[in-house]
Amino acid sequence: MKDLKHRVLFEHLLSDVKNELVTQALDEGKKALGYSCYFVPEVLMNLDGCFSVRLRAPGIADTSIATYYMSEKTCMYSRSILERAIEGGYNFCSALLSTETCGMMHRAHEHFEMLGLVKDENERFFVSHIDAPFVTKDYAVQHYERQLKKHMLDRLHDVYGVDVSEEALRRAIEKHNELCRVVTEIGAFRKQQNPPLTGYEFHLIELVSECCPHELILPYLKETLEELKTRKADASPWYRVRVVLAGGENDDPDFTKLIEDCGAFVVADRYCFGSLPGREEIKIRDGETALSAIARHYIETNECPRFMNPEKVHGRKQYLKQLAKDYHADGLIVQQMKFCEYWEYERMYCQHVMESEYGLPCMGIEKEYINTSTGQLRTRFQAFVEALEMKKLQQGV
Amino acid sequence: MAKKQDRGTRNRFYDGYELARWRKWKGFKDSWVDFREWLTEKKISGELLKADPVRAFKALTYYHWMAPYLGSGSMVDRTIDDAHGEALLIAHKYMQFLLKSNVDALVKILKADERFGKNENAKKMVIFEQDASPILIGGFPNLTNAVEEPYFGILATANDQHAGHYFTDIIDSYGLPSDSCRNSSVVCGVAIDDQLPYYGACLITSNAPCDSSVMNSSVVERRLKVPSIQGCTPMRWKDEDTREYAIAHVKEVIKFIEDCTGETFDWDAFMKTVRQYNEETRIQHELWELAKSPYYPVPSVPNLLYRSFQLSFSSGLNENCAKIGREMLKICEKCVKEKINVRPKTRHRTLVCGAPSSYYMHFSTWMYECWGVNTVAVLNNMSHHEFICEDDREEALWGVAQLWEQAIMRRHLVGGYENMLELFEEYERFNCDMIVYYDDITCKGSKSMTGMIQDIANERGIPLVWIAHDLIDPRAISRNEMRKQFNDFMFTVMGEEPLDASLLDFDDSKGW
Repeated sequence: MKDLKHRVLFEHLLSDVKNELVTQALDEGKKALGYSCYFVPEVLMNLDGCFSVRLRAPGIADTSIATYYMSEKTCMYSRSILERAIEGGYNFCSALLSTETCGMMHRAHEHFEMLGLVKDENERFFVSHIDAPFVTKDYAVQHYERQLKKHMLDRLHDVYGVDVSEEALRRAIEKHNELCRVVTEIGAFRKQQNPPLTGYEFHLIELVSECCPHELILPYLKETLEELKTRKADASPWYRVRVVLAGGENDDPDFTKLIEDCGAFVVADRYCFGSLPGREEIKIRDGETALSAIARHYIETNECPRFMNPEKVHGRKQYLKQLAKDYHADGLIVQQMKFCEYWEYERMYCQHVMESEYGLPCMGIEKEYINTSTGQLRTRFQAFVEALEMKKLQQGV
Repeated sequence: MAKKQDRGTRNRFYDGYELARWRKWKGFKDSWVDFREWLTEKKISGELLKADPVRAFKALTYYHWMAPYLGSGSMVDRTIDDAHGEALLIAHKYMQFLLKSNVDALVKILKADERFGKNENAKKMVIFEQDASPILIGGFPNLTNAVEEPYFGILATANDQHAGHYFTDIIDSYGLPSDSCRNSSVVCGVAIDDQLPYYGACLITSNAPCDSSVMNSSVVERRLKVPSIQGCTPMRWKDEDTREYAIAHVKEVIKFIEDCTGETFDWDAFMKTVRQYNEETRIQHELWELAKSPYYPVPSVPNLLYRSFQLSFSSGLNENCAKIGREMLKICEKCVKEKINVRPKTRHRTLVCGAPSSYYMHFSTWMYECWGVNTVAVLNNMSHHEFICEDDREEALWGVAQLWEQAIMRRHLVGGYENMLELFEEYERFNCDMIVYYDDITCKGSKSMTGMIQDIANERGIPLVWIAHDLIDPRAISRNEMRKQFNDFMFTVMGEEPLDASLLDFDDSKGW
């Protein structure tokens, strides 16, 4: 296939958290709000006058100082965020919106406060912590809504004078939905038997949509969507098998590329920083306030293994099965950041139940934030691809 | 290894084991107390077999996690080794509470276990995960409770350091990385190996204390096959705005128990339990006041175990708990008032933080005997210590929620870094001059704070030593390796010599 027009631009935008578009938005006087978890609704950080930046640490080579503070036996993503923060990489942020969801990530965010990071650059910089529920009951959603109001909206209004009125929230939802529609439409191409984009390309697209100011990245995404409508795929599919990629934090498109280099087309991205879930439109029901709709939406669509109620525990597996069906996947890869306790358990369980109970072949891998040990991973992916191919042959597909 | 010419405490043990050639001679009076209380402990342990010999025998031969209870006598010996005079009696009383509660709980479980035959007891039992206090059962006088996890992990390993291997190996081979919290993973190993008893009308899971215990609940739920509900309280528990949500949770749990058992919540009975719980808490607060004194006689390990399992084994449900507490209080008051020093070897007063290794619960005993480092306060014990309102129902439910929120380990681990840094306030409060931090290598919440804690300690000139351990599995870090870390610290940082050189370096890797 011919390269996407903006592929190089997207790759370039992802090479630095404070990229050209972020700088442009800052120059326009907007406030950058950092976050790193789906429990912090992206839409609320894109109210008028501010924009969301999902924190990443591209190109991080060494986490020595963060390792001193957090020890070497903790999630490397969390340590990388802290290291980058100590380096001053997030000094452009006006706030860090955090949730006490995974313990290590939260601790990394707490170090912003303990070490007084970013404060030198911006005295008004604050870190706010949301208490997110573990279940999806009505009272849990109401609690979540109260927390969003107190720890996000009220803080943004009080510190930066952000308009958090009902009208402002509704405007933010509209703009958010527009972006979601475009990304979802792009992602839907992956359902095709011979699609005009790769999993790697989609990973780039999804990431730039999370790491760049929405208003500035949207024109590029729309243009890409139009391009894909006429983009000619190769004469025959380039892949050998199709897989759903699930798991914890994954903001590295090269990891997707590694899988695809082994012949497995990543058709669905159900991981932290992925679009499934993440790019569903927010719908406001009759009689519902915008904030209530947002709280409900983010609890309903959330697939984090942290949820404990059986509906979610079983629902997560059903969701993976449904994705495999919708995207015609042959198998499932569950990746887990080393030391991530939520995904350690979820990966273990998926490896045992997805094939036996849901009929979906599954492999599980443990990885670091930096894409290392690629040789070993490549061998494992190749073996999985061969196993899936054998299975297809045996089934006469 | 200790040289033969060294004449010290370790010489009475067989090398590699904790099997003593002779019992420690503590003088006529103390040896008599030791013997008398030892007999009482044997009697308590025997009740497990006496209550239902057939089921007990079947359980001992079926459940891998049951066998370590045969080593409970050795556990008591290890934990009271450094106790003399009043401290000895206190240590025995605490351990007897633990043994009795443990045996009673096991008897209840065995009698309800449908693996060994159908019975009605199972339907009257509500199962709670370890960190979920069973206090609500006080409102259901016709029901009983079982607290699940202690038997498989911490208590079993405290009895026998090798008890956790079997289950950690199972869960490792099942695919769970061994860096995950060993306490949670042991329970999963028990579940995967079908070693959970078949009992209970319903299960109340808990999101305490950490991420891994959130995740292990779904494994247990799946295997237990009884209706379950998630008793998950807020993480940011100091945030007043989480109150409504927390109370809603407690109410839902009550309704769930009512639905599963057909019983109705009895507020009067519940308030009686609350009063009992408050009495236990009041006693503990008074003991902490006394602990500031150099004449505080309580040996740390029995107190640590008592306090750790007070939540699971009592929470106002066990009248024996307050009774023992009152006895302890009386003895402590006497020691402080009359300035009786039963810890004469004390060179340092230390605060102990972090999760202690369950396979080396008696590390503090060793620190005292070898180096004269007296553990006067344990940060983990400063948990579940809020009083519950006795006059207002809604407030009382808030108290229950707080009890769950501030359960042992969870109290300092979640809800903000300030909670963990409280260790420095406790250090001051108990007039300590040293901090020993049990560095559980699988505890992510604690590990993520190491640098900050070290920085603050350095800034304030507080001697702080990290003792790395694996919580359940001595194959990762053995007891002797733990001792070596402490020895190195005492020699190099503190520049001191041991009180008993025979205890510096010895092998007890094969012992219970």
